[in-house]
Amino acid sequence: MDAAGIDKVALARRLGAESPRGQSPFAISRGDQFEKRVKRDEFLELFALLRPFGLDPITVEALELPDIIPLEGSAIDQSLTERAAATREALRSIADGTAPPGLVIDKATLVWRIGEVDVRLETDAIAWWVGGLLRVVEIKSYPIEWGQLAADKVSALSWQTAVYVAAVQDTLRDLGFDPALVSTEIFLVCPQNTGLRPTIVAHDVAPQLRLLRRYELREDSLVHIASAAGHVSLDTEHPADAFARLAPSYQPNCLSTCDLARYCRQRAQRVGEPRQLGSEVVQLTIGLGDLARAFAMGSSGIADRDDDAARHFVGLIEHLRQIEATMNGSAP
Amino acid sequence: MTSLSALARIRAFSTGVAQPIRAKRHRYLSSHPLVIAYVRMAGEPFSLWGALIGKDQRDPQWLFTPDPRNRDGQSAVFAELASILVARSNQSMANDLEPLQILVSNNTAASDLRRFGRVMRARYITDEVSYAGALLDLYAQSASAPGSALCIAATQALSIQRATGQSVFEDQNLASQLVWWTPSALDRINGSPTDFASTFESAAAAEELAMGNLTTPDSDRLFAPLVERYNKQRRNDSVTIDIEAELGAALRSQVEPIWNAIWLAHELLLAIPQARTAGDRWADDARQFAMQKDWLDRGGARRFVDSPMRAARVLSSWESSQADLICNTVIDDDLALLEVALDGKAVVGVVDSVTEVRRGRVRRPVIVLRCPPTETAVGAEMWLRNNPKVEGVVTRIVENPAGHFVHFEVTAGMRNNQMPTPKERISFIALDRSFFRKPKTPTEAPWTHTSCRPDDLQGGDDD
Amino acid sequence: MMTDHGPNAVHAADLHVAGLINQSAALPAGSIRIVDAPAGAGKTGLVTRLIPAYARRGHSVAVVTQTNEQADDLTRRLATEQPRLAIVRLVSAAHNPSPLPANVSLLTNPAHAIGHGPIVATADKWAFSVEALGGTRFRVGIIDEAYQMAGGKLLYIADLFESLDLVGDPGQLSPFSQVDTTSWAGLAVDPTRNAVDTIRRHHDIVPTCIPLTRRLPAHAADLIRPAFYPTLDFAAATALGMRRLATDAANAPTAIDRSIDTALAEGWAMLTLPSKAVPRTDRQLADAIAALAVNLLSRNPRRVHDEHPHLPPTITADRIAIGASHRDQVGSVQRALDAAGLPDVIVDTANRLQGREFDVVIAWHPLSSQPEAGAFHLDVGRLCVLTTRHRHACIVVARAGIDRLLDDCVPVGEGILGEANDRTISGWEANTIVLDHLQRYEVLA
Repeated sequence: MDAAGIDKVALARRLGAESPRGQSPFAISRGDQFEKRVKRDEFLELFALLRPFGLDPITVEALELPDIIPLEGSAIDQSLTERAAATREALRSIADGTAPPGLVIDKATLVWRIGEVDVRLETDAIAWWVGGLLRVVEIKSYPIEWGQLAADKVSALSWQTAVYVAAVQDTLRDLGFDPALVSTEIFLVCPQNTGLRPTIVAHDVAPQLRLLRRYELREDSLVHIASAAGHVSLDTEHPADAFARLAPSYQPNCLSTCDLARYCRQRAQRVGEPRQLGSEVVQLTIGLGDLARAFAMGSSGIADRDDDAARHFVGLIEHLRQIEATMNGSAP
Repeated sequence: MTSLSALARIRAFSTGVAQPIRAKRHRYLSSHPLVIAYVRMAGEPFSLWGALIGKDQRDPQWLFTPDPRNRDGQSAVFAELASILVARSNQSMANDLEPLQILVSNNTAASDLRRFGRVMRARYITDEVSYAGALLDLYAQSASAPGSALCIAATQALSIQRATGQSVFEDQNLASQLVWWTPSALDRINGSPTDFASTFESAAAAEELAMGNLTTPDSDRLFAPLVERYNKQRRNDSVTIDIEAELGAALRSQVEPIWNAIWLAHELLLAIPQARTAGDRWADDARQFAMQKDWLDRGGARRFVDSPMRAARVLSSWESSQADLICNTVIDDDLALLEVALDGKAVVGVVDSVTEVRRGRVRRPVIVLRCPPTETAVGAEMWLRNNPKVEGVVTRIVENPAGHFVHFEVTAGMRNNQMPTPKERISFIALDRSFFRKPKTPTEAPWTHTSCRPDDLQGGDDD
Repeated sequence: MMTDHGPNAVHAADLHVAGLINQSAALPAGSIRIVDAPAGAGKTGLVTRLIPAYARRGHSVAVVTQTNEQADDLTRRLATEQPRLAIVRLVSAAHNPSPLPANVSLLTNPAHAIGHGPIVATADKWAFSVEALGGTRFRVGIIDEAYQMAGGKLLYIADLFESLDLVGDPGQLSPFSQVDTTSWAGLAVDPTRNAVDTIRRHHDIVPTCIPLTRRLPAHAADLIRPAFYPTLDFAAATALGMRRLATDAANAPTAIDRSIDTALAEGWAMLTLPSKAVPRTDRQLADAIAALAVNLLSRNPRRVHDEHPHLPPTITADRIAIGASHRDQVGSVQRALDAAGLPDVIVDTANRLQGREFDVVIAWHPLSSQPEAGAFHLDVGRLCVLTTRHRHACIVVARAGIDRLLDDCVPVGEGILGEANDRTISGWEANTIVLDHLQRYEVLA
């Protein structure tokens, strides 16, 4: 659903399980402030960061889409479409050699087709210079702390930028050029340590990109999710039914990534889905179905059915009781 | 997690009450630890916005700055934090002859101590602040050291003792974990009565509270205009006392539940009997702490990033502490024994007979244990729980109508007067014990671990 | 990519190995070589040839292994191949290896070991020997199974060596720790990073590769290479059809027989049982595995083509292995084999089969009837070991549904900044590639 751009917070609200998340105004303002800083004075800091990688700050030009095509209140959609067209033209000029010797496309906008759905993607920038490849630039306002960034952040930004790289590849192919013109190594620009001075890290998202491509080849979940999500319109009279059709399998870490997780959790609690308690409980209750059945058999020590799963589980309970009995001296 | 804790989780889910998975508390807990409850500003990982600090629940100190993005205000808070920390630490060493113990809400809070420690050193506010920053870094790193009690994250300490009916992930929220321990948890945390039909509902309500390190986004939407008004008044050199008070009170109302929750966790943990070897581990902590503090007191610096030598040394010391902790936990705690026995790593039984076997010129005792069926196989090497020096190997497993019998041939450590007697209940454990000897760490990085590539890891705080 | 299996590949690999050995004569102090070896490449053979090559030049040589078993095996093989070379096996007092050849001296004191020929010891023993060696340096250090060694261990001993050869199989399990290592994640100082990666963080060294698998047949090499070694270039020692086993035909072929026939004809087979939620000790699956072993052995299996001159013409129980992921699965198979009257077939976990070779391997798929595909089950190393132990054929047995499981459990990634390889993602990919391939040889039970 993320890929299809569904507004999950709104959906969650309609499903009656609003998430307490959403972004803090302080976090938003820090993000804006940092991006402004990186791009201020005609991209002075960004160009300086890119220089060691081969960019010549003298000859580079910036295609400032936000200035050329501003996002106007009611016509945002139209503006984004125009930005996407301008981005496509810029990529063509880079690929056919008519672009200036260095070009940074500010807020390059891409269109990526998954299954039946077109997804519009807004990058922070795409950079190119003679002798180099197209590079996706991602600006984040959380700091790289003494060379480190938390794993969940790295994972999230890797997937996000891998989708950008995939979209650039597809655009190039579509225009009749070699998709290898875009590097799988993206540039991440973040504040360094405790201050706001930006630093740059080259990060390869080839593994994520390979996985995205394999998904498409296998015509599986990503396409399924995207096209299924296409049916979940927020105007649906019964969003809960429509959502259930997506059959999401709730697991605890959904809570950190998805705004619908609390709704899914309520449902998991109602039906006693083992997955909500973590993978060890899942392992222990294989084939038992729900937690109520496991609890009942665990309390009575009697298998309610004659199958491998029930026998295995009750065997474990019996073993536990025997050890307990031996320990407290009540064993026969 | 193990089979035992998975079963306990299922039981907790079905009954709405957390279920014990340990009978003892395996980490030392002071009756008056230094509790730090705080919030950062969202998007500002190195900020300290408001904090309640103290060794007495009824008498906390309140640290606060209206906008932590303002350097001067923030530095003042760090200076205050530093002076509390240094004073409390020295007081503890002088009066109680032990290190100060720090108690925070969860693991994220423990890693935030590291951030505070780094920013306090990077900004060179005063010598005392830098010194306290190094101390905080020391505490933060010890939070990852197995068995160490210098810095305790309440959520982690609780989840070692009991399994809740939710996931490990949700247990990271202290309030949400506490509602499984006691039905009155939310009342105690909020300071007002609440009413929920089920533990699930209380847990969901508890999640609405700021319990880690950030104010909630919803409250931030209320704070944002206040902060803006404060900044405006400050720029205009107007008197900011009123707005500061308003903001401070609003923020404090977010930190108070965290403060209450940590003290509730403290009370619940303190009520659990302490394990026999917890004191030994605390003595180790004290030794380690004294050594590192001594280094800092003599003007030594603490690196922002570990050297390869320190990283290797710390890893190997943690690995052996981990092995020690696991073994001692099984020795000290019947539920832990039950847990490993259920997973086939221990044999619990009743001595049936003690005989001898001749091996070349030596005679070795053989203990025959009558026990529940076990997955243990012939050849398994084990040690005796009530006398860990005694090592043995399983030489035979006999199953007959009278029961299940495991033969242990004792290979080391048994004295004649220590021989178990028939009908005695004993256990053999198959867990690896740590090797105590460690090679000496080189003083400098070897040629394989050094390069001419730039190393930008020693950065400061440069805007 | 090289796909020319057979004598040309062997020739190319021989040239490569000879080149490495010749080059070793002229290596200056301070040099480091990294040699990647795919499964069955003859890694140990390279090490046992490098040692005398250095020794002949008068270079002092120290060999580092990761376990005592590896050190003992290597010492034995070296001593047998080089009966006139004096070798020292340096051990801790607690280790008593079974008798070693006459040209090996077993010593515990490192100070006494110097000057008596190449010394073989574990990384731990070397670390404890540094002080006793008092500044002694060896002209060459050879690290075997370098991908299994943690950089934090190399740190203790690296200064013993003036130059280094690191030899290893990048498809194997990496070192890991049970304690919290997040404070070093992604940094060069991370002591759990393997020795090869640690060195490459500091030195610009491009590994070379032994471009051959001697053990695996051609059809196996074609799958193993993209699945487990996407960056290595190697071929099989024999071309398609150059190795063949035959059996008597089954009278009324069952699914079990058809799996065996497929495996002997194609090198691979996958026997798929109906999907069912069962505990991982899955008795029916264990029974199917036992039935495969029983049927294969009852059909008079024999070696028709095999370039190895000393292997027995008849395939007996000891030339077959069964591999699983967990101890309790091994127990489940063992019970089924006992019931079928075949207790001699080797059954073990992937970890313990590592380094061994058989004619036919029957593998319990690590993901069979798993409700989730976690990091443990997706681990590349485990599947790699199970599918690279055979000279002739491999039969994988699983419950249906692994394809769906993989779709549902796409890894989010390890999330290490600046790290180009992601072990969870490559594990998922390897699983997917292997499954896609095996489905071509699927037999439904």
